Amino acid sequence: MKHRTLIFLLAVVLLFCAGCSSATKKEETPTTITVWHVYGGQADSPLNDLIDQFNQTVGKEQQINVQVTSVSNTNTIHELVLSSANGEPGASELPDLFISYPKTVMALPDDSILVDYRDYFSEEELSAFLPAFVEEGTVDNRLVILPVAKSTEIMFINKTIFDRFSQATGVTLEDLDTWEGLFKAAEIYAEWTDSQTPDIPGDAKSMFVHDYYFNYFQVGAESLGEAFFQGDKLTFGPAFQTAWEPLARAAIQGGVWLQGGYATASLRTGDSIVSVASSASILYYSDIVTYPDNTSEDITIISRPCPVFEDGEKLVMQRGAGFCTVRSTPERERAAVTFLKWLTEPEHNVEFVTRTGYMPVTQTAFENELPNAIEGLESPKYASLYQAYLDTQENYKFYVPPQLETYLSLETALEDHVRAQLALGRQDYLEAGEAGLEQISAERLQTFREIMER
Amino acid sequence: MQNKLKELRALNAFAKKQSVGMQRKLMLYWVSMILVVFAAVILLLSIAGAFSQSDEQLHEVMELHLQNTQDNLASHLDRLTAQSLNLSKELSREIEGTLVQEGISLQEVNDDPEQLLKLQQIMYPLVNATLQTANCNGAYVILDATANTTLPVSDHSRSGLHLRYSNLSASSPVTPTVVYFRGIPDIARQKDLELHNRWNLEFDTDQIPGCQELMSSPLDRPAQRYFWSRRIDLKGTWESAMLLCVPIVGNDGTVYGVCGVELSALYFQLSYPAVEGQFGSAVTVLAPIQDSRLLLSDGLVGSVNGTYLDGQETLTIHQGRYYNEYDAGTDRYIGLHQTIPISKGEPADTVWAAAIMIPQDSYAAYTAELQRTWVIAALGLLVVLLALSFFLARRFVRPIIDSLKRFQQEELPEQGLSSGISEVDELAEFLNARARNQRLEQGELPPNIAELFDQFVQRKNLLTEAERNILRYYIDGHEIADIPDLAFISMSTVRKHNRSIYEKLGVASRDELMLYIDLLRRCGRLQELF
Repeated sequence: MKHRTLIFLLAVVLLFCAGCSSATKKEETPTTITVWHVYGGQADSPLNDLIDQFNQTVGKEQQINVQVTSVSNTNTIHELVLSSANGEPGASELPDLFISYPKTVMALPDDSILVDYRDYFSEEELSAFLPAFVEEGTVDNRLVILPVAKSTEIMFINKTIFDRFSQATGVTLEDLDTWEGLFKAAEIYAEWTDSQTPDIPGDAKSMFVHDYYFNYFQVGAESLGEAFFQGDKLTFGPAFQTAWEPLARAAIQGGVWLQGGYATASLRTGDSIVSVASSASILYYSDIVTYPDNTSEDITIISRPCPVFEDGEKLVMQRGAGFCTVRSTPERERAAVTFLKWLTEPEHNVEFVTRTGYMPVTQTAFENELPNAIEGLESPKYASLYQAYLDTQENYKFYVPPQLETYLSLETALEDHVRAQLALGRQDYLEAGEAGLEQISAERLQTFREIMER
Repeated sequence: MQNKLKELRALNAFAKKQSVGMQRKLMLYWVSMILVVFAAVILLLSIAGAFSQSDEQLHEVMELHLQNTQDNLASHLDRLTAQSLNLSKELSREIEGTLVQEGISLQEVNDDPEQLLKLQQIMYPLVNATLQTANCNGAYVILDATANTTLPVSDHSRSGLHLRYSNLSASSPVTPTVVYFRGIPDIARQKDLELHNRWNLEFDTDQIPGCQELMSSPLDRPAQRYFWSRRIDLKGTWESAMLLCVPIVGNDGTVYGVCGVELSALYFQLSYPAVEGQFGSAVTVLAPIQDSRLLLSDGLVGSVNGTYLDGQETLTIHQGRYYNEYDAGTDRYIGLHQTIPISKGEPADTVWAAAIMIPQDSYAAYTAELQRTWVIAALGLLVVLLALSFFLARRFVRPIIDSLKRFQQEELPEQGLSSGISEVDELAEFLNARARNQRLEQGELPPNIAELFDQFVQRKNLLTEAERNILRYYIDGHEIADIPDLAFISMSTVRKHNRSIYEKLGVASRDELMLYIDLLRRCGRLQELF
């Protein structure tokens, strides 16, 4: 009897061994997670370099492989994420990590497809982040957007051409400190460039381009003490008019670039020389301008804090999206969070942000790492940017846009119609002559308001 | 050391002298037999190829996979080539039409941005249509003309258009975003396209090796000579791509420029996902081979999920029986490759290959697991066989030992009682017989006889004095007739005593009595009767 038990036990042990043989097969395979981000666009992406660094070090140790499958912009990602989350035909599969503003999360049909970072970060880990940033990433009491880098709006100037303009007309860099001064300079610039080719009338060049006129009006109205949003609509009070007038005057005279696309494109072709855009656009400013005859010119780009209204508060937009993690398997979620924790460690975070024109997100990175990093910056373009950053930090109040479901549609509508109305105004002006300037501006504002209020 | 050896030898010799138990000896025979059979089975299995089965299996799977991959790649590239040749023909027609209309030659377009813009405007729809319909992520055309011949870069700067997708993802979106990588920005503004972050007005043909040569020699038709460039880094961007270069050939054989499509590393990665299999994940590679090395940095690599490939490696190829090994220095991969012709009319120094490879680590893990299973199963079998041999040996030996124990306790089995083993029974009988004989030889009585005698002697105590006297006369050899005279009694009294004696001693007659007396005398126990 004893022997039978022994043999039975042996058989059980053998079966168990055979059973567990297939379970451990995959232990050599790394967990691959995919990322859609916005840091670098089509240019060299510093985040991709950092991802490589992660893959070679921590990734290799913990068998995690991070793969970038798209570098675009937040609007493109917004569209892709929404079409994918709504299961629209032809939509791409969501990646494990994507960059998003709260507006994207709020537009999602179901935000439970995103990981709540409180499940993976301890309170202590989260307290390392600047509280306002964590606050911004919290939607419906769930921390779904992890801040990795924050930006603000900065004024970029093609100093090489501006110096020539300044010499010829006496306009100075300081004139650009206020919106009124800036748009006045734009009018002068248009006149100056137009007069350089007397045989071709109406070929004035634009001095200024704004990435988001929506932000211009929003921060402008708020800085003048007027609420920009009323419920989920916009208000068009006196402050809005104060913002509209100098812009419209300059635009109608040809001093403002109104075509679509990012501000960097028109600076690249020399079609404008001053822009206000996210500090992160520093990556995309080229150090050369190429003209239609294929000649090119080396230029110097400098940065200054964003202009303000003469009677307004020193207020500036705070921007910067964060990483959302899509719910998948615990293994993949853990891998994604491991990468994010690595990226927000002060050392890596500062390396990342100073190469992309952002600010770090943790207190330690701000206090200990950033000053050294700024001192060590070799590129004058970046040094100038971070000087402007520090000035902004010291003198400005940061403005964070509200979380509205209609935010994106309002933004898109305003952006399209402001440009369209001002471009039409420019045409009217070319036809009517200088006398009609004020009237055209008022008419276009009227039409614009009517469209927006419809 | 020597001392130790001596000690060991001594121990061995001692062990040899020691007698070994039957069970242990039987076990030893069993075990030797099992080991021999086991070794033979393993030998046979390995000769039959049971252990290299996974290599063969891998070979078959990979060959099939490679075949599929190559078919896919070949048809993909063929289609792109066909579409590019078609683009070339259409571009040639449009360019010629415009040149005729304007009454100028292509050389006269140099230094004339307006004519260039006009040409680009008519070329744009064709390039855009190709981009939208072909399985690629970019389409371009380069004209053999530049906007400014006075510039130092004018010998390698050429006007043209290059459109690319910017939001690639695994499932190609229905409305991809087209960005304007090269070309006159007016067109981008007309078409509402975003300028690429690293936009440039013109192409730098030095970045595309072979492009200048293709433009400089006249050809009969575009299909005569075309090629895929090696993977080039798109300057200032994080992307790299291979460009298909097809000449745009005019009616008179002049080459107006080069056109074609772009396959970026990212697009290829998304189009050729890694295939997860039992041996690990298999990655698709299209790369040139040079001096037995596969140059991944010059080719394209599919999705690398599940591996640590980064698409920049140079892999040294070691040919093998079932598969090749690709050595990247730090990591090793195994797989198969096959050459694939992708260019035409090119000097034949570049051989392109389609390859599939899996990390050696994951295959090693798979085979190690398999080996572990084999070893565990074999050891398990061995243990079971040994246990069985122990059990059988014990079962066989136990009755023998029991019998032997009984021998030792002198409980020899009785006749008819069997141990179940004929040899043991025979031995027992033999030993019994021998013991009996021995005892008889020593004058010992068989026990039952001795018992009879004992009883007989015991009974004599029942006799009276007179009867004992008469028994004595019989022992001394007197007849019944002698007794009246000797004992001074009548014959009838003698008879009466005789009956009583027979009765008490348990005998039937005087003869039987005399036999007892005789036997007791012979055994030397006669005095016990007195």
